[in-house]
Amino acid sequence: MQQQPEAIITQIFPDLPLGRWAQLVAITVKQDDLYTVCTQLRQHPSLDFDMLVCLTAVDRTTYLEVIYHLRSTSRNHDLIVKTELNEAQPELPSMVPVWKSAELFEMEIYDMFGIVFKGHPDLRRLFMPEDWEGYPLRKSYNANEVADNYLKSHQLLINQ
Amino acid sequence: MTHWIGEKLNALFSPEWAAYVGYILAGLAIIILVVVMAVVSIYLERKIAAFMQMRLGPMRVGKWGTLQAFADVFKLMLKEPLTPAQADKQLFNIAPYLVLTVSFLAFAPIAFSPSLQLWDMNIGVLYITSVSSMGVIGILMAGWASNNKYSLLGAMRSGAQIVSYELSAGIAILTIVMMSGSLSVSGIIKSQADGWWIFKGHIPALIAFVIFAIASTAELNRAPFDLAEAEQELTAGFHTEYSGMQFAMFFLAEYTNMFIVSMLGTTLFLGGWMPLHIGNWDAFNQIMDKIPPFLWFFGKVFISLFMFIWFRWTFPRLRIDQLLKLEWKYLLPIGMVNLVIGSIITWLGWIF
Amino acid sequence: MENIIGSQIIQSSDDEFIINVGPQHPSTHGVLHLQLKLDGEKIVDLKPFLGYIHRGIEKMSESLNYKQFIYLTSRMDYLSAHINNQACCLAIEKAIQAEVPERARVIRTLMAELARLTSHQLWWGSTGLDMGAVSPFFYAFREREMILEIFEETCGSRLTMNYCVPGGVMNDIHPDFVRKVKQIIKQFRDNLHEYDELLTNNPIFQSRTIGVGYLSREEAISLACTGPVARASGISCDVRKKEPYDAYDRVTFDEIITTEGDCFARYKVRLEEMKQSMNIIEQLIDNIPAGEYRTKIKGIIKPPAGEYYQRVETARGELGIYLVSDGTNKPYRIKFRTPNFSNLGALKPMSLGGKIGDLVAIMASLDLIIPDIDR
Repeated sequence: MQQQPEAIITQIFPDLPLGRWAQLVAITVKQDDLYTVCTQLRQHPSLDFDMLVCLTAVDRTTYLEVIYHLRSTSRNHDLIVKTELNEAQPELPSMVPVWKSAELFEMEIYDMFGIVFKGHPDLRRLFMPEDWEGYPLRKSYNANEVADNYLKSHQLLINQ
Repeated sequence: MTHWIGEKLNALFSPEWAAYVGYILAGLAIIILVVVMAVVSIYLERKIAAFMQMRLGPMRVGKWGTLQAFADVFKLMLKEPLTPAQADKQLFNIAPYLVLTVSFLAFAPIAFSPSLQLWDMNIGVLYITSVSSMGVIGILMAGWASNNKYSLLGAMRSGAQIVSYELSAGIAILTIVMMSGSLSVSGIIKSQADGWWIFKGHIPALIAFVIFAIASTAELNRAPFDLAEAEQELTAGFHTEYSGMQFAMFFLAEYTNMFIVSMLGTTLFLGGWMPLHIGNWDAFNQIMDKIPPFLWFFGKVFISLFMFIWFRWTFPRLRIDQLLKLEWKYLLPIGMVNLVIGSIITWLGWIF
Repeated sequence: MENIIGSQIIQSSDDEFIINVGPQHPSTHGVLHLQLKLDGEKIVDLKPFLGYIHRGIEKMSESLNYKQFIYLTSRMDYLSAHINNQACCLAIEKAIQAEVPERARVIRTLMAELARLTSHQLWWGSTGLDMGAVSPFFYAFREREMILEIFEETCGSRLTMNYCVPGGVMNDIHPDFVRKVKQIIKQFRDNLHEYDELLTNNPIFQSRTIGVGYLSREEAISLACTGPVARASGISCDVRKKEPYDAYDRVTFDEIITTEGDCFARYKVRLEEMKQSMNIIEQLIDNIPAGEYRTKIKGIIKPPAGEYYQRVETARGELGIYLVSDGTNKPYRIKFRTPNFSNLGALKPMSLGGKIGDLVAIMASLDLIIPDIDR
């Protein structure tokens, strides 16, 4: 069974707010400290979070919440790292030097939410066509409008 | 039989005309033979493959699917022959016919029975090997003229493979030629009157037979050496861009080559049209003699055809570097050593 | 083991040759578009292009209610469709704290293991097909057909079975289920030696897969690979053992781990997993508890606001479901963490420095399902 790293986390990061996200231990980190905290999580011997299981984002209408789900294969514990981003200019440092799985995850989030990851080796739209406008998984995205505009601009609509 | 036809023609026409009509008749006979054999081998291949895969194969067109080949040819004739816009038009159109012509040429010295042989030249075996090696030109032409990266890759691979494996096949053939002492097809068959070379020549001939089987499978671009036309890797390789009758030409050429190689192997190793005699069992030998020679010949050819089909549907495919490594590091040295040993054994008279 | 390739970056020379593999291609198991930079036959660079089957399942789920979005997930990894549905149902049951009867748990586990068997059988057949041996494909489908018939009799559909509901399963199993499953298992065990004769012991197959596509343990962890890909590199990551769900806590089976990390190791891991699946089925099939097959969940499902997480082991790795609920009857955000998405990241390090023929062998051993990546 997975273990909970609450004790170790409060010991090493005493001033980060600790909480729960879906029954997993979660810490909330500010945008600027994210890279240092993640590097520490990866390299500290009693934490050893060597796997980035999932990197996802949730659009909470007033802000964007980015979730890093980390796992340690040696210590057998999970952790959630949360950041909150402003919708106007969402930017984050890329975690590709720390965990290689971040490469594809960050491309997907850029495509779906519009968050730019600085330092990513190949940031491009993964699922949508390159010249698509808008970010599909945001709550403010109107699917019908964007799709109609795209088809019209590429002269692909049949009955217009 | 050829003498009988010759006499009839001479009776009907003047000597020159008789010769020309004779040539035309011979050509027609070969074309009909090739077409019939292609049809039969296509049907055989599909049925044998199906039975090995626990299914039935063609069953609807004709009784038990026998007319399937005709249906396929009909479909291919009705297809639109497309030439890609930027392909080299002359080369693109000539390539399939070159490959096919080369296959037809190789039928000349083959002896179907003691009296059925087109041209008994004294370098029959050399002629067959040299003529069939010209097929590589057609394949490379097809790959280059298609103006398609995949076709080019496939043609290059195929060219490298065929040229390499010709060496091993040639050495295996040389072993038998040396043991029998003659390059002509009838000479080789006559030397097997007291037993097929695969039995008489024991160890060297057996090794040469195995090498010949592997090398000729590779020359035909058939599995497990069918990298050049592997669908999963390069979408049909050098004949990707061909459709309709031109594709049918490549297809036909492949089956014709399969026949030629089988016939060559039968002539060299399995006694050609010689029946199977076992030592001093006179009664058995007399029964074997009653079966007409051309039935013996075609029976052996169909057995080797079955072996080729069996290989194709059982083995996975070799990678190009593994293929070439097999040839240059294993088959060729073994073949050369076998040739030397075979010559020593023949000189010492230790063959039967 | 002479050609251990992969994890090497080659300096590219002037004769570069860019080739597109896909999106329609007989050996990419779906619509995957790869751009390869070749130097002769060696692969110098590899870039995947996705999105050809992106249907927006996550966005669609936000406009469907909790009972409806479950069946969109059958279309993600369609070979383990039942396991995907099971994951969604488990997540919802965790959210609304529903009790699932024992009978339903065991039935769900049985169907999941049967689905895993069909998935691995199809993988085995298409591995042979990619390598050039056409006949194993038909042998694999001989057994797979029988299992698909059982699926059709039980849930009405062969591939995308919409059998799980929050609270249990949709219908009870039919009376002949136990007898038929036992018959299939017996026949499959008798025929398993043919699988070994056809491919495993074939020297050509071995020379194409041993030493090809090496993935080291550290790299597999860093790339978040799960499933047979990770287990062949020595990582113990079977969710059925780590966080047992449904009836997995009452069966004993081995987790197959090898350390070689090449294509042949992944092949052997999946073959062994098939045998373990049969063991699990045999342990459960005779003792299906009597009782209800479904808890009736009254009214519209409205989980309390908050976040919920559930993970399961599909045939290809760990599927994670992150469910964010705002108290209404439609999910606020669902994220599917699919195993094939991370396994795709392993393609580049494994193929660099190898040949195109090796790329085909690596893709066959990774067993990617592209709709799972694109969702």
